[in-house]
Amino acid sequence: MVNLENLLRIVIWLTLSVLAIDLVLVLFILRRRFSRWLYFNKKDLAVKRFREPIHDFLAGRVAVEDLVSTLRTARRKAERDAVRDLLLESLAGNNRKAVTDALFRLGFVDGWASEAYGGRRARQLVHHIVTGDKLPLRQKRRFRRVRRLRLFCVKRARAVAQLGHLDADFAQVFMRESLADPSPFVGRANVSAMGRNEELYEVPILLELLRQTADGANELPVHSVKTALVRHPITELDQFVPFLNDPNPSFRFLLVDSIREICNAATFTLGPRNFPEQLYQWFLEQATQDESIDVRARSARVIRYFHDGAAMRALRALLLDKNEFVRLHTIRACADPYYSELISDIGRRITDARWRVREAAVKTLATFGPAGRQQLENLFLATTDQYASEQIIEEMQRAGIIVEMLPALGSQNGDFARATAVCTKMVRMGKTSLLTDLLGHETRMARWGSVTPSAEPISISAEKARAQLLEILLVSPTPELMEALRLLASREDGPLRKKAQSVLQSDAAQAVPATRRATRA
Amino acid sequence: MHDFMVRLVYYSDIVFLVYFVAANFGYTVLMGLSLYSVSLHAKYAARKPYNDLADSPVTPPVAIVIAAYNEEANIVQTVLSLLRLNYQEKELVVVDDGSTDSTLERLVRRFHLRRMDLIFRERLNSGHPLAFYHNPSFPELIVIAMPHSGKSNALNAGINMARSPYFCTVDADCIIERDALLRLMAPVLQSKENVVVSGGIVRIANGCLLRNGRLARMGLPSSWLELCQIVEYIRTFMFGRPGWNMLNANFITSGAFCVLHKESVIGAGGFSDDTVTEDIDIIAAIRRHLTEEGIKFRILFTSDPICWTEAPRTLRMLARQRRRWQLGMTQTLAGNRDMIFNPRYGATGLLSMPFHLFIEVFGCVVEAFGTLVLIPISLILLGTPLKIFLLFLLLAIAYGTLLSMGSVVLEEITLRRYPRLKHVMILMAFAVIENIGYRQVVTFYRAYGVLQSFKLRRQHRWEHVHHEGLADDAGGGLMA
Repeated sequence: MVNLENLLRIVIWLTLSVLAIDLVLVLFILRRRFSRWLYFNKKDLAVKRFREPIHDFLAGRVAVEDLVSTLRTARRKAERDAVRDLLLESLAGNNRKAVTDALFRLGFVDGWASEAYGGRRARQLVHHIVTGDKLPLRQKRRFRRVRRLRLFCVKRARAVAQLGHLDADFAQVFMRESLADPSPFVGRANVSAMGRNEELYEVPILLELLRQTADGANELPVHSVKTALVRHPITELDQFVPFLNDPNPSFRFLLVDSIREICNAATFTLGPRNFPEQLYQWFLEQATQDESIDVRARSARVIRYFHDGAAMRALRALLLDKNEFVRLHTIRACADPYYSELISDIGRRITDARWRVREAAVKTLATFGPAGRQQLENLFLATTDQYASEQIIEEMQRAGIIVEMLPALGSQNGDFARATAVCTKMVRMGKTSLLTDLLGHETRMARWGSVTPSAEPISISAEKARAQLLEILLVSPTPELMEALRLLASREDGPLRKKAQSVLQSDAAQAVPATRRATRA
Repeated sequence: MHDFMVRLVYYSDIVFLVYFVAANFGYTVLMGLSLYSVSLHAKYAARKPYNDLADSPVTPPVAIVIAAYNEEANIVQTVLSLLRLNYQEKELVVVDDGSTDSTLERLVRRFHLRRMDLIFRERLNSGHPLAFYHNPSFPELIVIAMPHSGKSNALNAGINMARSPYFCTVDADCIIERDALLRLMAPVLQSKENVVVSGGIVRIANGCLLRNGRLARMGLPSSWLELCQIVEYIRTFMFGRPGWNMLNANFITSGAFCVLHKESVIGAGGFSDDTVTEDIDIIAAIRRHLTEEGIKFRILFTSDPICWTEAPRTLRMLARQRRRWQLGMTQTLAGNRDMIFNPRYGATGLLSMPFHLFIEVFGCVVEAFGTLVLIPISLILLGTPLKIFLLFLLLAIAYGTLLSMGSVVLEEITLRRYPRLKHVMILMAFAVIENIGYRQVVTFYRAYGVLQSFKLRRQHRWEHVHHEGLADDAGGGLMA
């Protein structure tokens, strides 16, 4: 048996210890709150004090030596942090060199470099930057495994991120050095800084990193490297050329996809002149024939930016590719007014055996404006393929095409017949929910898509359109229609009310089943 | 007879002592691991590494799936908060599981939705929707009306409708912080490993003020019950899950806010209604499926994406909620008992599942039995000195306060969601108070949940916890 007295003593001591720790925790919170309050007060004061001289320095009214002597009066941590933040905030465009100089003279750069690479190496790196002397070879650092631990790398990652903000002359030396860091956290911070800087020298480095990532030779995530790479402008695409024929299909895919993203980000209309000749030829001749499905599929999304006859021919061929993903991406690539010539080719894909391709075809046609929409309506009316019809009508509902079309039901022109035919086919397919919804709510017919309900009166044409819509819906009455009719009969004046009342009293209304389920493909 | 009772109580005391030491040792280890991982993550996150993700064109789209049943009080706020998330490409699928209140009507009215007939491809067993609602002005939002068939089916229907490679489950009574989805996706995108689940933190919003789906002012509720729950949530999410995450042994991620890889979930058969906590069950199912397929994967917990929810305001609702959670955990452990102590499932099979079984599931039964039966017998019939009982009770309470206070301190160091010192001090006070009374009451509810699992094999219905709605700046429960 355990000695009761001893047990009691242990329990008492444990309890007292725990209570003492609890008390320490309370005091810790109080102290922390107070020290944070103090820190931020001092920092705010320092920001107020130093903002003006930094502003003057950036405007060229104060020399860097004068600024540095002013900023050196910031000695406390809060003040130094304020100076650092103010300078880092102003690191942009033309200021970068001058601000980097100030940061360097104030000792911030040395501090970050020491944190990131160790004191000795930091001195070597800074000396190399300042004097241009040859950089001594990096000594193999010990404890790589320990340095990989998250516990020891967060500080380094933060330092590397700060160094990445500097002027290119400084930043590129530090970034190259950071490539040797064993921690993926530091690597990510480094790559992220490269993306932010958008400097020319970074592209080959990032491409090499992307290749290593694809080969599994480093621990950087694809997302980080790609994000950094695609931030660079289209003018740097020539640096991609040496990598295009890499044997690794995953890398080729990442390369093509990065080029696609860079093209997407371009703010002007692209043409063949914006692409290096070799890259242009590679896409048209090799990428479209690549053994990798992903490369072929993504190449279509780049070729679309060529905007010429060769691109048109390449896309037309890819629309018939044996692989569904290639067809799918090619169809999406064609969503550009320049390729309106391909509308009928895309239209043929609406009867594709794969639903993703059908869906992409419908969505792409809907982006072609009136011509695409007309093609959709024609296809919808002409096709006997149930799946194609379902796909088309889904997009016509979701994109608001049906609602935009409905006023034609009240018109006298040629659109009347087309709108009537589309609605009749919808009713026959059992796709009546939207039509019934619109019939029951007069304001919705007048105005679609507005977040604030319209207070506009119903126009005559809208009323005529609704009457016609009701006639069409009566081809195949549903429980929802009966509900809408009851609403019409109780709420409205005019011909629709009479019509609703007469339908509700008819035998046909009694035969309508009580509930209905949504259809599925 | 007396001898028998003495022996029985003696051996029971040993069982209690072992349980007490084992549980507290386990919690202490978890606390240490959590301290390390949460504080490091906070330091790392302070570098704002999420800006790159937000701007990056290569960040994949995410579908947010909300299953709602009688959530008229909060649903509009929730959807507003989700529409305003800082995430480039997202789709929002709200599944109304046959609500009998005005959940669906409020959505239709607020977002001017129109009923449509859309295509529904049933990759996961979910049943047929009754209707779809959409408005092209909110292209990312789609609402599905389902016949009432349970949360699992509703979630499966949402997944069937979602088009993105990842989806995020969000409870209908939750408010998500603006960057939370980005933070939740960060480990998925920034990891070389195949991250199939990423879970975030759930915190209690009672007492906070909402404005247009955002937390406009942090505050604390006035009721002791809600305050105790706030401390309890902080403890669970700051001092439990980060520890398991470090060990790569996450067994639970809160379905209130969690990102999942769609194809992995489909491969695992989707959400099942075999248990009442489909979120615990799906993690086990995904783990089983991917392990059997030989696919390497990670299930992660991240300590800074925060989702705010409304906590039960009455003991009755709290009892219902805790009983259900415990029942679900027991059902999941029972259904996956072959994974327990199975090295094939790594640290989850060897550490996390046994811990949850013996400490979390059986522990509360042991505690409840001891408090209700053995202590009275020991005190009244066998004349055990009262001071021993009181001292052990004091130690248990003191240790409980240490864990709770530690978690509040960790919150203060890392997340700092309560700007006023007064609020932090109130939480510190409740870190003590919740150990006296509240914790014991919750233990009884949980023990009841465990016992219930023996008779209740399947339960398809929602155990609905009534929500009164979070306060908005108009003072009501709903932003119109």
